[in-house]
Amino acid sequence: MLEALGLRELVTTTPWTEGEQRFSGVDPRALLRMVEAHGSELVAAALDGYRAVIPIADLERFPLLLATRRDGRPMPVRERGPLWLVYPWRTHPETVEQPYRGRAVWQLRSIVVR
Amino acid sequence: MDRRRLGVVLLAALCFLAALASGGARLREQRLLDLEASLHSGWFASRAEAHLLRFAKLLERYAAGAGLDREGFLEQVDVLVLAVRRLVRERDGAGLMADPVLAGLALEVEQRLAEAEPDLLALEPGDEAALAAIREKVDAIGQPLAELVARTYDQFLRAAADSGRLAAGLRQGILWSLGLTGLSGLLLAGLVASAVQEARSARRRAEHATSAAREAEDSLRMLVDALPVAVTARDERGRLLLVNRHAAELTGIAESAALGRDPIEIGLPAALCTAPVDARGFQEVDLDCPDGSRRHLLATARRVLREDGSLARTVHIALDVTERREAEEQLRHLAEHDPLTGLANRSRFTRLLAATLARPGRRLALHLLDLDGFKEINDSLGHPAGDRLLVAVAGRLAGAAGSQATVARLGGDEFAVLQPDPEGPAEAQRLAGRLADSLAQPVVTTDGRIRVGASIGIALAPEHGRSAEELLRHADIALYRAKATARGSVLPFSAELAAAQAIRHRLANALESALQHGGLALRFQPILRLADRRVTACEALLRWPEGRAPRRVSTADVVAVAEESGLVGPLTEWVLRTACRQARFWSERGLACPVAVNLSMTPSIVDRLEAMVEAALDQSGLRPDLLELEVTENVLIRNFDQAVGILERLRRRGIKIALDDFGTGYSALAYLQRFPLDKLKIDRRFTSELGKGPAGLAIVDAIVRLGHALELSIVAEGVERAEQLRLLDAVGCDEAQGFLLGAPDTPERVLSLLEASATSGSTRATDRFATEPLLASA
Repeated sequence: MLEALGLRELVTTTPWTEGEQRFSGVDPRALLRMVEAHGSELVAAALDGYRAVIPIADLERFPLLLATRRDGRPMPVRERGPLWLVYPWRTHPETVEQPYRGRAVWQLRSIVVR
Repeated sequence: MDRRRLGVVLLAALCFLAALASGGARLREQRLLDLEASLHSGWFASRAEAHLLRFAKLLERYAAGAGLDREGFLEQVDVLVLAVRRLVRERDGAGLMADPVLAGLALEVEQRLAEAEPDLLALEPGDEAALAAIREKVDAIGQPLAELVARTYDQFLRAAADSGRLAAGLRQGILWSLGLTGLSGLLLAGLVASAVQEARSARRRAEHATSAAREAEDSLRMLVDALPVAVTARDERGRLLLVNRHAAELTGIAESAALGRDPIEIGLPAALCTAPVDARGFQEVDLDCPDGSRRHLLATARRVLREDGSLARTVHIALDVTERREAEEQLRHLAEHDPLTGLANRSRFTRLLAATLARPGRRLALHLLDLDGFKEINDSLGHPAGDRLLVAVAGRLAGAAGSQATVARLGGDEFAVLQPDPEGPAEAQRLAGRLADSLAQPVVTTDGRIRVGASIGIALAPEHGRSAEELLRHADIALYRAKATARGSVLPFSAELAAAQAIRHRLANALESALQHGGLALRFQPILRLADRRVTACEALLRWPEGRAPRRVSTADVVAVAEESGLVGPLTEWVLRTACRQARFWSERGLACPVAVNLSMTPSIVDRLEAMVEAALDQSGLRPDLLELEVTENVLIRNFDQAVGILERLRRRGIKIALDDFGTGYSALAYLQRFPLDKLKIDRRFTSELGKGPAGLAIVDAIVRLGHALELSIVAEGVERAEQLRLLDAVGCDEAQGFLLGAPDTPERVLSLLEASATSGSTRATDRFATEPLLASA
């Protein structure tokens, strides 16, 4: 359903793994538009209880991707699926460091806009 | 390892790092990075252990059928798999995997998880029978993991000790840092010895440590991170021991970069580390965040003491109340300001006025402003245009008022200015003049250039009042008179104005009471055709209630009072209804005489005029061509197009329209041409000039020629002398009315007059009736 918003692709390295990865997914801004959510930040919660607060400004500053697939295949939970908020770590190296590093929530369970 | 021991280990590391940092960048070499890496590995391995503990707890609940559903549980298996895989296969685990012993342990963890996995995947919720076997396998994962954690810290401590010796060696030649290095070396050595011992005993106890203790520690950390509160902790030397997630997000400083450092050195905002310790309550501080936003925090701090009473930690807590503060500010602003213009609203202005007046010896001037013709602008251009105009006016007034004065919008198109400490009435008048001048230039908005003016009433304290209520009332009286005088007038309050206001007030009360209790009556004045002296119409005039006529009141005042008190509508309805009924009564007796009714073309009348006329005709059954409506030239300067439309439609129904008091108002001839009219009534002032000189006759002659050119019938008002009648005949005036031809009289007497007129073909005003106070109807 999410993918109906239109798939985009982002090829990047990640701070945790080796080599380039080809992610596809949707623009989180498109998702926010679809649900007509308004706020200044996102609270992203992961399946392992991790939570991160992501300023909406990040969505404008960086081409973020709410990734649903890696190499064209859906990501299982053990490979950080089903959703991973992917930052463009390769093209925007500052996102490798904190505070952005902690915002790339994987095993994403929910996003609350506030 | 519990928190205390971890703290000691960190302390040792941090002291060493601090010593290195003070020695210069040259010393930040590979060994240091190794040290950091091993510290990271230790933390990372303990995170994996925390995941496992959390999973074990979930497993118990799942097997008891009280927790997750199957899908949720499988997700949690995957979460654990990823946590372990990260140790072995990802970058975070690289430090571990570089060490053969640690790598062996990590791989063993992965292996044991792989062995447990098929059972985990097959486990159904509530299957407690299968739990015992699975619990054993999960525990088996925990053994190598616990050892991995203990060894990682052990290794870190060794690395720290090595680096310490290296650093000490490197620095021996550096004279200036010798003392410092020695000192830190000594300190480090002592701390490391104690920490190593602690860590080793911790490792020995690791297998026996209850999972509850570890879980408590992990839960505590998760809790601290989940709190919507920024938490930092420092040791007794002021070095950072903890920066929770919220604090890291607020400051943009990661915990990993902050641990062991001096908060000031790494630029941790003072708000998060300088609140007075153990003070009661919270201190309010503003924090400028790296993203450019400003957060509002409530900060406090507490000391944590050891058992012997010495200081162990200082914990700083800051609660982010920015949103709540913003909401409060917005609420207050909304409550006190006009949302359209941003000016103070009535409630705030009144409070400010009262507060200013409360100061002893305080002088002030209160200016009340009302825009001229705002309703017409709103009606013709629409409310959005009206709103834009108000915003522009607010800006002009605020600019003209200057920084000392306060400008408020009290509502609608009503503004107020509080001028503190004017030198005297003249200075107040000067400011009022500036306010009026500021609106002299047309306001340019997206709707075009709009010309708007304001009338201003001034009241001074203490001369005109000492309370806010009194001053506002008096300024309002002055404003009211200013508006009645002319557009753009400025008028200060005076006792005379108050007296006039009191009279109007009594008049309004009398009018209302008369309207309710049937105390009003109409008199009818005949209008004669000059050619044959026949009565061609009767003008209905309102008679003031017997014995209750307020003295010294002009017609204009009554109209103004009726408008001000909201009585103009009911009054007009009553006059129309009564006049039509009377005309119908005459026509039933074969004496068809049109009745003329005066209308005050105020906006409240114009809007309802057609409905009121229709109702009066319906109720009386009067033929429309027996009704004449007399309007004044005011209608031309108000909403011309609207009035033209309405009168045009009434005229098509057969109703006649007369322009009353011609020559006294503002009418431009160009307007006259476009205006739907049947008659032009020459004002009594011109009539009274007839026979007094050539100029008077020339004016009347000109009006008659003009009227005839426009195909209008001309009626002269106020004919009192035979000479006037003769001259009117001479210039070709069509009709006339006045005391000479017939004073306003009761319907009964007018009936006989009409009968006489019908039989004799002519009539003369033979009787002079006792003149009562007579007023034009509204």
